Amino acid sequence: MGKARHRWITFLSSRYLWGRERDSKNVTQILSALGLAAGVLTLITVISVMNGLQMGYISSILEIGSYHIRIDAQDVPSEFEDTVRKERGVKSCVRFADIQVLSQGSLSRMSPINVRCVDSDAATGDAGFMQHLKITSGSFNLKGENSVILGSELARYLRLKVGDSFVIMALSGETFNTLKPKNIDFKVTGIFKTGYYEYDRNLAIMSLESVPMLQSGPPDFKLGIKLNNLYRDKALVERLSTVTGAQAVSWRDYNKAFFGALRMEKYAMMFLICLIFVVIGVNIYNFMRRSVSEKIEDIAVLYSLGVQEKDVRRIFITEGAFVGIFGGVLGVALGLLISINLNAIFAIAGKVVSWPGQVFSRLFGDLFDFAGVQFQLFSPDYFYIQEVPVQVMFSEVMFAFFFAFFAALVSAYLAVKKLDVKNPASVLRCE
Amino acid sequence: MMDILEIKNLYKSYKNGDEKLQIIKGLDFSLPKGKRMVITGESGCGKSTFLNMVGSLDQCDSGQIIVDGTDITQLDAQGLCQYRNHTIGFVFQFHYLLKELTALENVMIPAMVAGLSRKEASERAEELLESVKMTHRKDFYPSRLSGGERQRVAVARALVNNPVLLLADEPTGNLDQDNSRLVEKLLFQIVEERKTSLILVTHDPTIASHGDIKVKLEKGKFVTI
Amino acid sequence: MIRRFSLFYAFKTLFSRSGSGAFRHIRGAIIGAAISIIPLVVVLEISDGMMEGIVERYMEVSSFHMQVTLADSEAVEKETELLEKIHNIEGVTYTFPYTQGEGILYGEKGRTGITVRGIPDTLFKEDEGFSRFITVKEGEFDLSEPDSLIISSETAQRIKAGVGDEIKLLTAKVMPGRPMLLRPTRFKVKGIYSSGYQELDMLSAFITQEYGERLFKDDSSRMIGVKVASPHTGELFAIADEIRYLSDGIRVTTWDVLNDSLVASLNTTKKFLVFIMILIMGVASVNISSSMIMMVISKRQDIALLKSAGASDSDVSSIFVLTGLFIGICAAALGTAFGIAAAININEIIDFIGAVLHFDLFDADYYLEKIPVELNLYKLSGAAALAVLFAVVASWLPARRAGRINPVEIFRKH
Repeated sequence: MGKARHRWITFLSSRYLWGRERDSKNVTQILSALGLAAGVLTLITVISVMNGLQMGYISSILEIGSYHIRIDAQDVPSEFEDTVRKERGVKSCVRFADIQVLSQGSLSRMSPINVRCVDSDAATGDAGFMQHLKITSGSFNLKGENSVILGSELARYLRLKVGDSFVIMALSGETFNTLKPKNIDFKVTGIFKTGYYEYDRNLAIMSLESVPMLQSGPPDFKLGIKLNNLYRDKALVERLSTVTGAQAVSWRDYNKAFFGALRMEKYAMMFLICLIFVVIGVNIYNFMRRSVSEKIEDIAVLYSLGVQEKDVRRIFITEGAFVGIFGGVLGVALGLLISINLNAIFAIAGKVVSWPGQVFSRLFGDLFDFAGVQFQLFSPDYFYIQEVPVQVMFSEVMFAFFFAFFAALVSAYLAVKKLDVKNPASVLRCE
Repeated sequence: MMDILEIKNLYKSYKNGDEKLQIIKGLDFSLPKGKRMVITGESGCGKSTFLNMVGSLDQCDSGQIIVDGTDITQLDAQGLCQYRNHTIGFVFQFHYLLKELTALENVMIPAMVAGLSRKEASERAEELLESVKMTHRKDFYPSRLSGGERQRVAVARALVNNPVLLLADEPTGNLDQDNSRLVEKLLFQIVEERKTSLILVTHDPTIASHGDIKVKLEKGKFVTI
Repeated sequence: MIRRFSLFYAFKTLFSRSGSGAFRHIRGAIIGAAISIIPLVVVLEISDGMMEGIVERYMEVSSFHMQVTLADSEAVEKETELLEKIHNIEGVTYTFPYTQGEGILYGEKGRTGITVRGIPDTLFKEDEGFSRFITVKEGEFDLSEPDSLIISSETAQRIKAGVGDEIKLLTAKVMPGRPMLLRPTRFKVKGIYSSGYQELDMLSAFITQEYGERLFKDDSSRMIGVKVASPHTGELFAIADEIRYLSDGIRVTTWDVLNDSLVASLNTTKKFLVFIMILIMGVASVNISSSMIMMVISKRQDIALLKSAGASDSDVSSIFVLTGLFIGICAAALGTAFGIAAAININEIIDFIGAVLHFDLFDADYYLEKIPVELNLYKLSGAAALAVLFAVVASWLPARRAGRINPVEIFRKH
């Protein structure tokens, strides 16, 4: 009986929506669907851009900065490194140390930086690391004595290019009280660009052999481990801690604060955009109420034919479901289309918008708080990235679709909850 | 069971502003099976109200309405739905066909509500449309049909689930002379063929004269003519 | 254009007590529109608050309102005179010499790169802007002794130092013609501060002017910081110009240039958010349109009657435009009221949600500790006006259709 019921209810709903002899012109349903589509589209596009931007930072951090798992390796003899490497799930293991020093380039420009000293051979074996460290000039060559590879922004600030001399100033001494300063000359053998400003501006890479030059006293070595699967870190953290006897830290814990903040931003943005669905839900609710009152005669007739109250409700809810599906699908299609072609769109839009924008800001500049700020869509000066990275995630697309569908369904349900067919006679009364 | 309908001590009143109009006052009545009953009377809602109550579209103040052995005043919502779907068929003055459906589909609907598959419902509907001589227009939408044609479809719809009782409220009231005759003739013919009982409300005296049992609603009670 | 009778009719029909009043039609529209305004208001107030909060901190603590750089040796000698001249310019509240340089701080248990500023010890006491954003967490902001060092809590954590500890600062000085001079200087931590914004904190440590000059004294590192009374108005630039005329060889940079990348990226984010909020409002306006259509349909007979009594098309449409206006005003009032309430209590709301979810929502490390909310009436009225505009535009088409209703058709149906 249930299946048969679905059948005729769906049949009637669909006739109401797109049958040939529809009563109304369906403007309201189309508007609802378009509204839903707009919401889905916005959600997908905005979140995909956020993903792209965030992924940029995150992957740089994971591949270069924090590694997937790190182990404090002072007490771990180098033989253990091979043991670690042979562990199932471990892709590579690199011994490294991070040291803060003051650096100097040409024209006496100075900058405090973080030097990453790595085991050169192991590092070349770390595919993720090498991939993210795009060498823009020179090469990843730390074999020569006192070689250094600089981040592109650092090189730019210090006015250095490949072959130039790079001076490190550090304090070294056995104890705090015997710290003495020294200069060390290094040669720039390569320049890299990760796309993550933090690293490009503050990171230089040297060979592990340079460590004693930069600091004396017990070196603070760590093992940087990359996994085959980033998400299987938990088990490996335990395993490695047991194997090496030292404490292993997963990337999740190490970057908890920052990644948490990124996630929070994304959720906040999603929340704001989902408000569109709340408003559209109110729209659909009102449209549906109107639809119900228009169809009151039909409802009375159906009632007289023996249709139950809940079935009548279902007709309208099914209508709402159809609108939800249609709007959702349209939104997903458009959202994906725009996300994937976003940069092309921006190129065109930027040209269109910036001219009137500049006129506008010149005329009304004083009215804005920050006088004189230029209006640019995505000015390359202010945005470190060249083009907008976009990353579409399937789960989020599904979320957007289902949220839209759900909004339509809930609104329709609420609209017909108070359907009153108790007195069909009053509608069908004689004249 | 000889009587298709038994009315016991029925009361119904209406509030019209501050006035209370007593439309049905202590009505007792029985309709034998297979008979065709016509109710006439002055223009007003009393006759239709009675019909609506038998059709469970309106509620009485007190009394019993027993149709085919069941007291419908005691039925719950679900029971009433079943009643309306299986036991009775309703033909209104205004056709009240669903505009979004073709003639055939309109007739199919009660069958589908009863649980029949599309195919079964379609077969039954076609059969009925043939008996009202509307087969040639079965795929037309109501907007393309004339008043008479629409009413014939309505009759077919009312009969699709083989009800034992057909209720018709001024079925020809909105039609011109010729169509009136046609529809009326068809109606009477069909109920006789299918042995369906009929209660028809009208103020057309010609139609009234064709009924087996003729009554008039006067002062809240039936008066046999 | 809008005749009195339109106003009368609109008023009567909206507020009539009898069941056929139009209010119930538009109630949904008002609610929908009001809901859609809330996020705009909240985003405007908060983002402004956050932007100002962040930028203000940079303005008061890091870049100051203006930076005057002394470029040639002559100017260096004229420094004191210059200081006084600048101080006498109208609108200048405080002016002081300072030095700035980079180095590495070495604590016993850690080290970190740092930007160090040598400032006069009166800055904290006398400049209201500076002390407003420097909250002393431990110890005191005391630069009375020459080897005093004030570091941020961020920095203190990194090098694992506390008040009273000894710290070494490694700096380098390049003298033309001489080999580079590296020197470690001993300092004593006198106080630990926080500006409430981590990124700013990471950058700065403060030392005395005396030591600052010793370490960083070199023509290009001599600077004068200037604070003015109204840094957000054109007065800022007027003062900057005046200073430029005081002498040759000086360069004046205003805070907006010094912080331009910060301001621009914050602005872009804000514009983006506002764009989305306005989109939400647009979607809500569709609701207004449809409610108006419903109202028009329900009032068809009334319209036919009015027209047969001599009302013109535009009289009738203005009735509905007025209704749209009414919707807009109600929605704007409701929406901004709730929006303001939400914005003012945003810190509490975030804390509450965080407590419920057992989760620190917006980690103070990356955002301001508390979101400052300053109600900007100018922007608020802009948002309200926009809401009203959307409502009026949304009711435009239905109103026109209402105006064109033909009374004959309506009467015929009855």
